[in-house]
Amino acid sequence: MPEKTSQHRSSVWQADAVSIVLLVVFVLVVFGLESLLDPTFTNTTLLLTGVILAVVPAAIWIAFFYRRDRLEPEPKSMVFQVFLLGGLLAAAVGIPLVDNVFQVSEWLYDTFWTQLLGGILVIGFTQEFLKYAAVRWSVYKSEEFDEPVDGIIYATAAGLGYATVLNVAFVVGSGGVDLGTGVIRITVTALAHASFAGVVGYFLGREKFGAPPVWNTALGVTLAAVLNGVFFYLRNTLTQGGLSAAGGEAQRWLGFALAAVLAAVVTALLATAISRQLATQGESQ
Amino acid sequence: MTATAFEQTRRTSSTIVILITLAALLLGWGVKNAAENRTRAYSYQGVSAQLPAGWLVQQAGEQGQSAAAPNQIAPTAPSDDPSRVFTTWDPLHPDVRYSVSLYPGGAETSLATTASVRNLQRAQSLNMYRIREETPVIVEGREGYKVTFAYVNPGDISDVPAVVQGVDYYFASGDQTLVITLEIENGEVTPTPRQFLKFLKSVRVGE
Repeated sequence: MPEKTSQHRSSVWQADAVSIVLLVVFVLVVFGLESLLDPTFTNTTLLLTGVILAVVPAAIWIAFFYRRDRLEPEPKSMVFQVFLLGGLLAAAVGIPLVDNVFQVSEWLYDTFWTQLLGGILVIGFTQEFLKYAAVRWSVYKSEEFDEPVDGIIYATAAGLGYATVLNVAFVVGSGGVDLGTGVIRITVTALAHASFAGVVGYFLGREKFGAPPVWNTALGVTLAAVLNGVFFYLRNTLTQGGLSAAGGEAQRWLGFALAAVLAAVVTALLATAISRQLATQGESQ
Repeated sequence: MTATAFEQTRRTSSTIVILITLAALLLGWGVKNAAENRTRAYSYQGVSAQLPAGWLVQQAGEQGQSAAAPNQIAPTAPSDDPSRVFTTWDPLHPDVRYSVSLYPGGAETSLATTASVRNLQRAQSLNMYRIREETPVIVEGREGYKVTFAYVNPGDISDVPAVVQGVDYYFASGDQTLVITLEIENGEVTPTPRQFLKFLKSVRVGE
């Protein structure tokens, strides 16, 4: 079993790493196609194309995850249900709370401090708590949640569901998006939310299969919320203010690079943390 | 640890997560309130007020651009008149603006008479100017007069005309009448926004 578990873990990390690379390729392909074909859209086709693009990052992750997660696979339906639950919680609670109750667009960008504190306390905590809830009160008690890495898998699915709804809402709210700019924003959102959710999932896995202190998972949600707030503050700061078209383009790519690095670093850190946790558990048994 | 003890620990852990999230949201609400209530003192031609922080100002005699931010084009203000002291607006929402005007004639002229003169002037200069309601009011112990109005702002030749709704508050101030105005393009002035009422209460003349 330990060998199988080890293979299982490494297949999950490989799936994550390949998904990140594929998302980078996806962005480059869409950019290339837009430059080569210079397509013309009607309002309807622009909207539909945007919605399809919004779903692609989650589809890539799920497809690759299914292919790699063969040794001890999580039930496809369960992963998909958590993905849907993440999306539903975003649509039913997260977006209305942030946009309508807190009306963040009215005050968040006022000063450095409001942007950072509001980003962490309102947006970060709302989003990360809902991803936590999507796992904690659904699959967490299931027998399928049978090793620490499952926390990361299910939470990532919830995070991607959340990101997909955010992206679709953005596309629909904007009446469609420019392909190049839109695909970067969509991919950044997906990579970032999957990464933050991975952090929450790691702490949930630790809670279920270790004996951590009672504040363990609260620490995980807080850490993810802080990462969320700081990341989007940095992304907004890096990507705004480009006066020339070339400058604006470069800043968008900078934001994208930041998200890809975040996803890669979080994946690597979580892989190391899970390995250490299992090694510690192995020694104590 | 027994299964029951594990379950109890997990339940406590979930409770802590919920409590921390609620605490964070409460703190976030505090940050929102602090950001929305942030003001800066402003004074021009003897009129002082607390403006919402980050709002731009166009002073009397200026056209088109803001003195506070020369690159920021001022919103169209067809109700501009010589009595206006300044207009302020949120650069993110230039369709909402506050103005302060001073009219000669204070205690000896009734506020209703000053309002009639101003309404007559506006009816001659603005498109489709309509008075929707006129009523005496008391704001923080100060007797005043309130006029709710609407008109059409045709904008530039390429713009779609916009319906502007507004409300004037008239107060006697020595030998002058102070008029504080809220105008909203394509929006309602009822109920009066809390932020405007705060601005209204902060306006002072000759202090």
